[in-house]
Parts: sequence; C-alpha cells; structure tokens
Amino acid sequence: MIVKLAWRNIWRNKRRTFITAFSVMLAVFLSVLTRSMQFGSYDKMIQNIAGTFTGYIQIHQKGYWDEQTLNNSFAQDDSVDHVVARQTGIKAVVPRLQSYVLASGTKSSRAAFVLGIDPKAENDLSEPQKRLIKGQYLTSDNEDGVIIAQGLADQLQLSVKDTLVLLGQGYHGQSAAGKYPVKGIVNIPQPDLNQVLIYLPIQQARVLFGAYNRLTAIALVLQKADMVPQVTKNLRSELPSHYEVMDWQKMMPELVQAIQADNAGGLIMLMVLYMIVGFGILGTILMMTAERKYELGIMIAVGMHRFKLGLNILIESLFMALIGALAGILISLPVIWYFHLHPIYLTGDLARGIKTFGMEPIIPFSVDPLILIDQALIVFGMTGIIALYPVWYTFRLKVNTAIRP
Amino acid sequence: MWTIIKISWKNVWRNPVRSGVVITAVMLGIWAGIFIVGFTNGMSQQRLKDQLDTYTGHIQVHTPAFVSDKKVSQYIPDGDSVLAQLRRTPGVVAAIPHTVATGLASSSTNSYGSTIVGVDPNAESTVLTLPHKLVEGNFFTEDKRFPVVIGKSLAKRLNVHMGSKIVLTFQDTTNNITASAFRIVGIFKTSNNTYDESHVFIRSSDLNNLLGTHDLIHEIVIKTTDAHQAPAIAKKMQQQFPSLSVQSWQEVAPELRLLDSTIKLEIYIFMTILVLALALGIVNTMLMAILERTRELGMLMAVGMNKKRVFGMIVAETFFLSFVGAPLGIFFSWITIKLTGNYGINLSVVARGLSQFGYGSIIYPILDNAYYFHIALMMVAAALLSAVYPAIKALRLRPVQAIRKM
Repeated sequence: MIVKLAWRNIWRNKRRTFITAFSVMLAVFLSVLTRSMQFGSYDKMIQNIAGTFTGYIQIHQKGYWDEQTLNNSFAQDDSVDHVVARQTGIKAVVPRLQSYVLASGTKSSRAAFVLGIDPKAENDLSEPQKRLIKGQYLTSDNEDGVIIAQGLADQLQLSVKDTLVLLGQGYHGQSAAGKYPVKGIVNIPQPDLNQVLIYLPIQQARVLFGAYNRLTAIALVLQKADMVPQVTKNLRSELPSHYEVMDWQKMMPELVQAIQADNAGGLIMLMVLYMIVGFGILGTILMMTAERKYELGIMIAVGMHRFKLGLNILIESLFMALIGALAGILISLPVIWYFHLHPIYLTGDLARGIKTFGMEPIIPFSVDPLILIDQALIVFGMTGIIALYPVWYTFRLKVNTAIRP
Repeated sequence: MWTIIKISWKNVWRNPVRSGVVITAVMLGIWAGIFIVGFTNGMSQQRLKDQLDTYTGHIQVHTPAFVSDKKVSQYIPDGDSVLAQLRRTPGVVAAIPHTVATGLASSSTNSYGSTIVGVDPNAESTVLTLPHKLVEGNFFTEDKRFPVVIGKSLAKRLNVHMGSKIVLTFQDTTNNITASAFRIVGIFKTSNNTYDESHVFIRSSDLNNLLGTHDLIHEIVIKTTDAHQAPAIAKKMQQQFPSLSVQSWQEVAPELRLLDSTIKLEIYIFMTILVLALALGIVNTMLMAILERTRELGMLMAVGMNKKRVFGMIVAETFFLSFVGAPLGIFFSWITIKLTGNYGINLSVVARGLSQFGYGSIIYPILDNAYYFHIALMMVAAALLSAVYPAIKALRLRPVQAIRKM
C-alpha cells in the first residue's frame, strides 16, 4: 500500500521527479566516465606491456623464472602442446628459446638478447614482421639468417646482408658461437629491447646453444585479458608438476604495482567526485522537501502516522534513485561504448612522446560491465543515505507552522 | 540592473540551507579537487626527482659519437679541462666524470649484457644517489683489489653473492677484447630492475688500467640547482662546447618527460569532470528552486517584471551560488597545499610499498600558480553555462498558470 502510494506520488509532479532522477543519473554518468577512463588506461598498459612481448601467460621448466638460464630449459614435448590445445580462449602459442650473448658487427661488440623463435607464431605476439623497417622477414624456423632490432643494428653498424657474429654460453656451459647474415631490421617499441634484441629462427638457436629440441618458454596470447586466471588455473592442474605456469602479474610485478599505485590515486579522485555529486543530489532533495512542506504538514494534520509518512517519502526517494541509476547506466553505456570504439586521439607534444614508445596516442575507455554496475550501486547507496534527510525532516516537522501559507 | 543584482543576492539568502548546500559543495569540491591535484603533482614531481638523482642526473655530456655507438674509443677529448669548466658554469651544483665500457658480466652459471661504469668513488654521490642505495657492502670505501658493485637482480641472475668473483668482458680502445675478474664488494637495489640488471660499477682507475689508458672520460653527469632549468643550462653549455653533445634529462630519458606530461593531461581531465559535476549540481538545484518558486516568479511577471529582468535575476542568483564557494575553495586549497607542501604528508604508515617503485613515502604537494588560474577560468565558464539553462526555464513559465497553481 505504501509502496503503491509512493509510486503514484512520484508521478504526481513529473518535473520534480525528473530533476531528482536526472541528478542521480548525472552522478552515475560522471563516475562511470571517470572509472572507464581509469580502467581503460590500465587495460592499455597491460596490452602494451604484456600483450606485445611477454605474453599473458608463460609455461617454463620449474625454477626458470627465478634463474633464467638455458640450463633451466625443457625438452619440447607433444603432451604439453596437447594440454595447451585443449584450453579455450587461447589465440596463439609462441615457443621460444632465449639467452644472452655477445654480438659482434663489423667493428664493435655489444651484449645482446637472442630470442629463438618460430617466425610464424611470433607474429601473433611481438609482431616482428609488422615492425620490419628494412630487409625481409624470416620464412622458416630453420633459415640461416637473423632479424635484429634497430638500436642494436645502429650500435654494431650493421645493415641488411652484413654478417652478425654471436658468442656466448650454451646449454650446460658449452661454448656457443655462430655467424648469421642479417636478413632484416625491426623497430621494437620498447626502448630497452630495441637496444639488444636479436630474432633467430628457433632451429638455428638450438644449434647455436647446443640445446637440441629444447625451449625456455612457451608464451600464450589469450583472446581476452580477463581469461588469464581461468586458463592459468587449468594449465597448472593439467600440466606435470615440473612445469611452472606464470601469468603476467607474476612475471611483471612492477606493472601490477604501477597499476595499484595509480588505482589508489584514481580512487581518491573518485571520492572527491562522489562528494561533489553527493552534494548535487542533496541540493535537489533539500529543495524537494522544502517544496512539499505544506503537503507533509497537511498529511500529518489529517492523521497520517509520521513513521508511515517518513517511510513513504524514503520509498519515493529510492524509486527516484533507482530510476536515476538505471537511466545513468543506459546513458553511459552508449557513450563509453562509442569512446571505446572511437577513442579520443591526443595531439601535439604529448602524442609525439607516446608514439616514440610505439603506443597509440589515445585516451582509452573500458567497457567492463562491472564499472557500470559498481558505480550505479554506489550512487544508489549514496542517494539512499541522502534520502534519510526528508525522513528526518518529516519526524521533526511542526504541523502548525507548516500548513500556514 | 543594480536592483536586480541586489534582489538576487537577497534571494540567495532567503533559503540559507539550500544556498548553503550549493556553496559548500562548490567550496569543498574545489578545495578537495585542487588539493588532490596538488598531491598527485607533488608525488610525480618527487618521483621525477628521484629518477633524475638515481639514474640520469640533470644534464649529461658525451661526444656525439658515443651517444650513438657507446664505444670506448669515443671519449671526451681533454676531459679534465672540460669537467673543470663545466663545474664553473653558473647553475651547476656538481659534475662527475664516468668512464664507460659496454660488455658482458659473467659468473660460472650465466652471463649478462652489462654497461660497465667507472666512477670516482668520492665524487659519485655529489650528483647521483646510487652509493646510498646499497643493500649490502659498501661503495669502494675499503681498499681492495678490483672491487665491483652490482645490482641485486644481476646478482640473482648470475647466482653470485657478496665476495664472489665475476668476470667483466669488454672491448678496449683498440677493439681488442679484454676480460678481468672482479670481486663483489657491494650490492645495490633501485626501483628499476632493468637498470639493476644491466649496470655494474667499478673504480674508474681500475677500468682505465685495463683499457691501457689514463683518465678517460666518456660521460659527465651534472646536477643543476633546478631540474626544470636544466634544458636552458644545457643549451648554454652546448654553445660553449659545440663539438660535444650536451643533453638535458628530457632528451636522455624521454620516458620521464612523457610521464610528466601524462600527469598534466590526467590533472586536466580530472578537473574538467569535477567542474562539470559541480556545474550540473548547480543546474539541478536551481531548476528545483525555480520549480519551488513557480508561484513567486509568476507573481513577479504578472505585476510587470519583464523577461530580461527575470532572466538577469536567475542568472545572477546562479552566479552568486558559484562565486561565493569557488574563491573560498581556491583560497583554502592554496593554503592547504602551501602548508602540507612545507611539512609533507607522511604516508609511510599506509603505503609502505610506495618506495619500491620510486615514490617517496613523504609527499610534498605542490602546484604552479597557473593551475589555480586555469581552474578559476574553467569555473567561470561552467558557472556561465549553468546559469543560462535554469534562467531559460524560468522564462518559459506562463504567469497566469504559475499563479493559479496550488
């Protein structure tokens, strides 16, 4: 009965209801917008860092990550491939054999990072073919040729068709030495890697290091970043215990920390925003209450119980908050969806700066449904608390002054 | 006109609770907003300072060839006199020489690409804070033969400890490969793992001995009085030494510059959303106020107040609501930032992990005056816009119906 009364009451004065619901809607909209930008930038960070070189998940020999040497490599095994193939959501499987060597060009030598790759699979992760700036890409995993990063090529003064000499330590301490024609030069967006990276076809890398049929890591690219926990869990339970399965959070704790630090700052900013929108809602509810002073007075005068009247008003406010929150979701969804598909492009100095790091100069938006639900719930809750004011007002109302015009 | 403004001002205070809420919202919103911005800004400025003090210094001087090739033969000619002259340049606090070779650091288990930096143990800490970042051992204070200080993560990769021997392999000035064993006397740890993995420090006298030369200087790292003045000072130095490459930190570490400008962008996005929220809050409250005062406004119109005046009155009221709170908010935030900026906010209790990624645990909020000005401008624009809509709504009222209502 009270609920019905409340529902009818809010439609008695449509404009008032619209204004109140509108302020709730705006609160939801603005907080969703803020959060969507924050989450969007984290997704982009993860995509840029984990999705372009390391991969979301890697499988190694147990202990490899703590001590990254060839001695901790593992023999390639079909049973691992079968387990991986069984998982859903895996976009690419990228086998790798990697180690550090001394690379020499015509005159000088530099420390370098050799990544033994399957040329086809690698295109799904670090995309060397796309980043090629000179020469040709590798055609098979047994080809006699290397692709080197631009920074390294500059330092060794090498260009396409020159010979690169590699010297280092192989599997179980054997000495590793080899010479390869430079087939292509790539520009790697990560500045550190651009100074050291060498792509070598995996069969050649195995010969170089004497690590026949061995891998140091299998990197996995997933269709979506949020599938990582499930796939990691499945792989851990299905693979034999001498393998370790690591997700990007474990492999790159700095990235996780950076996101956490930024998120803490983002939450503080969100609090300030809640405070402001909260005051906005409080303003409208105060006005609404003041406007209904006469009506409330009459209701009490004709004998309605104050408790019931208060409850009635509370339910009215909650109805309006609910309408506002739902409308907030409805209006923010297309907006963030639009900006998710058509991100805002930055211009000027900042954009150039971002581009030199191989990233797109955009402000990304996330469309994680949790953002919408969380913000709508938080604003709804906030409005619920603010709505206690009219209830209190009803309890305290002096009838004789209220109904005097 | 004056009468209208006076009426508006009195109208604002006819309902002190309602106006109080809006004014408080504007004031608190701006106060908290600007303070958070100052806090974030202070945090990132400190991070920048920490990065500069640990890794890059404010200005670096090399030969142009060394910048691209990093070869031992590309040292600064007559380095000592260049160093002495740089130290005398106005704005320079200190300058230190580095002898630099690139090569491989190896132990019995592994080898790792490494930049070998030869330092003057006594002078190093006048510019860079690395000597203070040791977690074990010391920075060449004991006189031992061929000592080396390496990063913690490199020690882990090479599986070595304090007192272990590692072999450093590099090319000398005539491109011959040289190798020598060094004993670990210190282990450092900074917030950047990649740096820790790829840099080892030895005495420049030892490195020069192995290179078969005397006092080669490849790199001069300079600390100036103010990091933001560094580009200007670097420009002057470049004119003084046209044959050398003088780079400020902005060129040496473009990623730090990027971080700097990203923070600025974030600050402006945040402030825009905040001002938008404030403005919409004001609009809503004013719309509600007009709804409540339908009868009164209708009466005013009926007794002959023209539309221009009604419009002016509502606009002025909305303006007052914003401009009692906004200056107060800006003033309070200015005081808060000045105060906390002097004493610092100690976060060590809540955020012990901060220092791990290059943030200090005591934050000193700071904000340039330009920001206050921009925020004030944004607020004026928002107030103007938010004043117009309720005023238009008020104009649409039909006097006869408005009076008859209720």
